[in-house]
Amino acid sequence: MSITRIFAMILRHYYILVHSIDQMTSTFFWSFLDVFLWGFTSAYLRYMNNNLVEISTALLSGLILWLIVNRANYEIGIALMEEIWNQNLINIFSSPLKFSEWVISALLIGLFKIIVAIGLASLMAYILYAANIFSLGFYFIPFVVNLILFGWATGFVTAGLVFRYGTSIQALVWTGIYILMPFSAVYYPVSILPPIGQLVAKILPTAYIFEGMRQILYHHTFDINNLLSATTLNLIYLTLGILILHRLFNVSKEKGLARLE
Amino acid sequence: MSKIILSVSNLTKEFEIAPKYFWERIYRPKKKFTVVDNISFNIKEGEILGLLGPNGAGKTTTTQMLLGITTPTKGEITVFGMDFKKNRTKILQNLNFSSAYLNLPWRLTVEENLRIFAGLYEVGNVKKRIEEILETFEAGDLRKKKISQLSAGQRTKIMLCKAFLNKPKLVYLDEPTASLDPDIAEKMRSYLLNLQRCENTSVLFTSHNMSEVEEVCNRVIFLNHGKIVAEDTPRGLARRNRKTIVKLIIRDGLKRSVHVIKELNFKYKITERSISIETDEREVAILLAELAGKGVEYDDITIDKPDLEEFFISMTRKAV
Repeated sequence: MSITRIFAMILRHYYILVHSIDQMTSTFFWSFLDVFLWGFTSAYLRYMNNNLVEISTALLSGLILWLIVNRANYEIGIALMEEIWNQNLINIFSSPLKFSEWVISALLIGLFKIIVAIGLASLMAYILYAANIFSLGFYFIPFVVNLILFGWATGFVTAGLVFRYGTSIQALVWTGIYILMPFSAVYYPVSILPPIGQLVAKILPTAYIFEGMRQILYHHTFDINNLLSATTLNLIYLTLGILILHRLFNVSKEKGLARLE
Repeated sequence: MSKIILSVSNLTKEFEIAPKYFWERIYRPKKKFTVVDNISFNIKEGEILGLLGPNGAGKTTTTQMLLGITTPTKGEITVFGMDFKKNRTKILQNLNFSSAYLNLPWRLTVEENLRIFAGLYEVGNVKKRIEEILETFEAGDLRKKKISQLSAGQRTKIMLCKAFLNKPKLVYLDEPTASLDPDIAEKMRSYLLNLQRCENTSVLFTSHNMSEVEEVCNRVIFLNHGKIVAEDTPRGLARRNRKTIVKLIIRDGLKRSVHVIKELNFKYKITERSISIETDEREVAILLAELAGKGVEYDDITIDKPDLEEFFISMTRKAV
């Protein structure tokens, strides 16, 4: 593992970020827009009924926490897409860069973008709508860590599929994760879902995190089981994600990486 | 004896032909086609080896396997005495490549791109090395320009800067002078020959410019349908195709000329006072000396040597 090579790749992502309006937009604009939209919806709910304060905070907290999953997933896929769009995949993978170093650099730059985007979105939610996501207190940290891990796990699978099938399925990078959103119970409890939906929710770490979040906001209690279930599932998914990505990268090399460009 | 830098043995690449519809995978047996078929060759230290062949011959796939971006179906690649599969990172540290058909991130400036690759190849004293290499290829004025703002020739130059950034011991150059101005192309060739002389750099060289191949390559292998069909020096390959033709416009001594040619056992053809003689390149001097000895006088002489381009065309036509 070489720190110099990882740093070189981080530098590469940094240069793309500062030179590209669409990267800037995708990093910040959509997060801000979502906060605005749901912020006004929450404000309206609050206006209609004073007892809905927790609900509006839950909606905004759910939104911001979902953004974390979304960004973590997206950043891995987009790191790969950038290389393909720029016809740079061959330059990168014919250099001494190891596959693991490429993955680590994508994770680190992704983490940086998540911190900046979510930090700003949270600040905006607090200033404009007095919704403080940090009211989750200490539990905010393990929740966020779990959401990032799940985003990375799905991101690994998506990136693996792009390595295997190329740009024909590139839309998965920015839409794939939304398939899991209804079952993650971001804005509503799992009990609202139909029985089959509840079964799906059982195997999603995100569902446990959002349930835990609502429990803290509504009842001011913390259920450790939710966190343990989410962490266990995440460790399984992360391992699977890494294995799938590695396998599909090797399959792609058998077919020739150059075909992706 | 020179060290062997790259050794390729029994390298084969088969690709699967995808069925039209995915469900056909269930009941149809897998079809495969061979792009590179059991090829073996090596490159010695300080040698420039040309890899020639018509489109679809397997040159690109071979290079991609040598770079580790396509996994071979069979065969072994040894670079600097190490197995490529097991020592990929170590080997690639001292290897680089350039292709006229690849790009660099187009939104980034030349300097930013080179800085990234300097990091990936762990080049020391990055700033100084970038300055040096840009100066070598007369691209210092492009430093702050984005790749998207460069012409095709300028991009090729920057790809070459990237290829020599880490002072590689082995370089793969795919059409390195495509789109370059003739003077820059000439400088690139001089640079390459100088590197070969001074640094003992080995090169795998692919080009469709045959005179360039003749100028820089010590040896050439010719690929067709994934197989090595010829291997020799550029002159050696050219000579395989036909002999040298010496054409003389005789002023005095046509009969004496025919006598000399018959004695030397060369084929010839006479049209009025012009005589065309087929001979080996090495025997042209003997022929001319013999003619001069017999007092033959001529007004004009043309020596038409076979070249690599003719060999390339004939080999490609044979394949068709």
